[in-house]
Amino acid sequence: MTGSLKRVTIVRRRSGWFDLDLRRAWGHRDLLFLFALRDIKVRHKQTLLGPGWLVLQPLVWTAVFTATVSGVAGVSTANQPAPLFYLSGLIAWSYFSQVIHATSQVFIENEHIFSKVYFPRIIVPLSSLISNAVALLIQFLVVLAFLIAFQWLGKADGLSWRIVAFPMVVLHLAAFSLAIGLLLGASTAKYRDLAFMTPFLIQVSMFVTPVLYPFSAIPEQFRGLASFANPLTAIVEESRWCLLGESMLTPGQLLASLFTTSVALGCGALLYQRVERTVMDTI
Amino acid sequence: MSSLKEEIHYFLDRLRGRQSARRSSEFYALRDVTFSVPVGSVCGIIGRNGSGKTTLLKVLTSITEPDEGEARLRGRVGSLLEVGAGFHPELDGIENIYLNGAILGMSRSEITSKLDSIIEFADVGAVMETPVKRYSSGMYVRLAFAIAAYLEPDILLVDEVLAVGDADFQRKSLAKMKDAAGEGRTVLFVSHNMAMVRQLCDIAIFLEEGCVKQIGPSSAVIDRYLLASTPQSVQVQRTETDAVWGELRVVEPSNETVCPHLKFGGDYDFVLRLGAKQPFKRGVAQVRILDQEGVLISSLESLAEGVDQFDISEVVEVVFSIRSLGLLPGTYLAGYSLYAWGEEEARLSAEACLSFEVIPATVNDAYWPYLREHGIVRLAHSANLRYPLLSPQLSDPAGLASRPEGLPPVE
Repeated sequence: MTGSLKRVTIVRRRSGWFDLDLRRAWGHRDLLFLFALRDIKVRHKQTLLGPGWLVLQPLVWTAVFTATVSGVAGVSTANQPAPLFYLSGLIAWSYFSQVIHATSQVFIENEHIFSKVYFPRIIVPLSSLISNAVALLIQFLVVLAFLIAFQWLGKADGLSWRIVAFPMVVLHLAAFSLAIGLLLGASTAKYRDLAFMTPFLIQVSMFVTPVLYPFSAIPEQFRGLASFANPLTAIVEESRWCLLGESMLTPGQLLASLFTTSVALGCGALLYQRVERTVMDTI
Repeated sequence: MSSLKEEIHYFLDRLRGRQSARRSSEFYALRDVTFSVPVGSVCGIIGRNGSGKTTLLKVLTSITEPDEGEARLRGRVGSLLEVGAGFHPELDGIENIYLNGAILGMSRSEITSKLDSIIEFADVGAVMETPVKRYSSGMYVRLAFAIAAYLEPDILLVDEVLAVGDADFQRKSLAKMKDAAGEGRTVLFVSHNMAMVRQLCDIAIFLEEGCVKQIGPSSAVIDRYLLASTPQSVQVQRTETDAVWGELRVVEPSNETVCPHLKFGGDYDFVLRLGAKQPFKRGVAQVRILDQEGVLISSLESLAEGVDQFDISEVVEVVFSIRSLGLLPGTYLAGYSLYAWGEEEARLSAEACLSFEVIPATVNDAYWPYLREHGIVRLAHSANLRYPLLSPQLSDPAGLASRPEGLPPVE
């Protein structure tokens, strides 16, 4: 114990305008995984279908879109079988929407913990990235099953080497989801009005992102702008590239998306750590 | 919590160069608080509600950041502002031990190594696999406290959490806190329970309106706090309603001088002066003497002592004479009530309007004085020695000689 007494914690107003204290967060990595584990375990407790919901939801959406958007409205699915086209986009979008949903309420929903114990607050949004990644993995396996089925039917190219790049897509997706989640979480803690904006924003994101229509349907001169203004555009297209093969995404558009993602992540982290310092006084 | 609307108003006001009302609602919850706590001591933090006790703990635990100043904490810090923070009702006992332990700052391997001890200390029986939402509240608290008890930090910051659980469990957790201090841990302990602070803490900090009023040995600080929380009313502290007013003082019977320090075994009069703004009929008076924790020790009753119901036309004094004061040395509080005969509710009441100190003294020219450790009151008694001649009765401790009739005598 005498050894541990050498460690001195200094509590004072953090001097820099940016101080995320990632070193302390690393010390709490066990907590990060335990929070993720809790979310996974608790999410489907006392439901009939349990984790089946993770599979059912994208499947139902896919069926609905195949029947309406593709079937009735006749929107192009970029020469891909409609179910594969929708599924490959939907899993990325639903990860984004789930993370946003969880993180935008982080200070409000965890007030009872945050007001009683300190641990780096960034742990909670990070844990929701992990728990939702598990859901994404399950949905990814469903897409693979569909892919193999369509290949067997001879209606799609099937698996290719590109699939190994999928983890990179997930990283990009997670980074952008975290960025928006942190921005919303920090703002909602200060101004509750924004809590009403989150569901609306999630819905809007479905339409401004090429989930229901192909990236190639965006006029070529606007594709760069679309990737820059809404990085999710490029992310969904990356996902389709990994799973389905074809893509119109250029390296420049990819860079534009990565650039916006990094800037948003920086801003999100900045705002979040500003708010976490004193928010417990006012919430 | 400000709404967007308020914020826009504030912003517009600033644009117009107007002083906004918002700033005036800001205040310092703590100001110029400087103290140090020696390693291995238990330090109580006391003060009224809103004096900054909890804010102090929240600053020390990093929950909220100070605007200025700094605190240095040597060693691992554990905080216990609430037992069971982060417990999830759907998870079972073991899962919650891991989760709550990690929230409190333990690593997973550390929890695994302490798991058996925690389960044993919690003593909740064979329900570790059951979701904690099915636990009784007692089991829930015991499990939660057991985790905290095995946190084993160098510095433990504790808020009023020990007020939970049944008496048996409270004893157990108090013992655990004492152990912690014995093992060289430093404990900071916020409480309103003065008896607990006195029992547990070596030193205490008295906070008032965000400032340190006093720091020092706990018993002295507690006395100061209790004194401060009861106005020294001896002279003029008047309690009044629209109809009546009252003043209580303690005087020496010989010369009517007010005395804040009473000698154990001395003679004193509690004089309750009552005045009426409109004529008051059939009054009954009562003076109550309380100990520092507010426990009623004795009440002095006008009616029971033979004073008939009295009318107050202008001013009347009810004199309660105490001969040979039996309160043992310590600090006491006194309050009074005026009733109208036959009514439940007092017409005039002061909970604890004056406090007084009883100082040690000997009785009957004895060598030993009575001290607080002998109890709260000395019952009127005397002690004598006698040397009885041995009689058959006394040499028969089993009482066999006085067996009921009808039974055969035992040889």
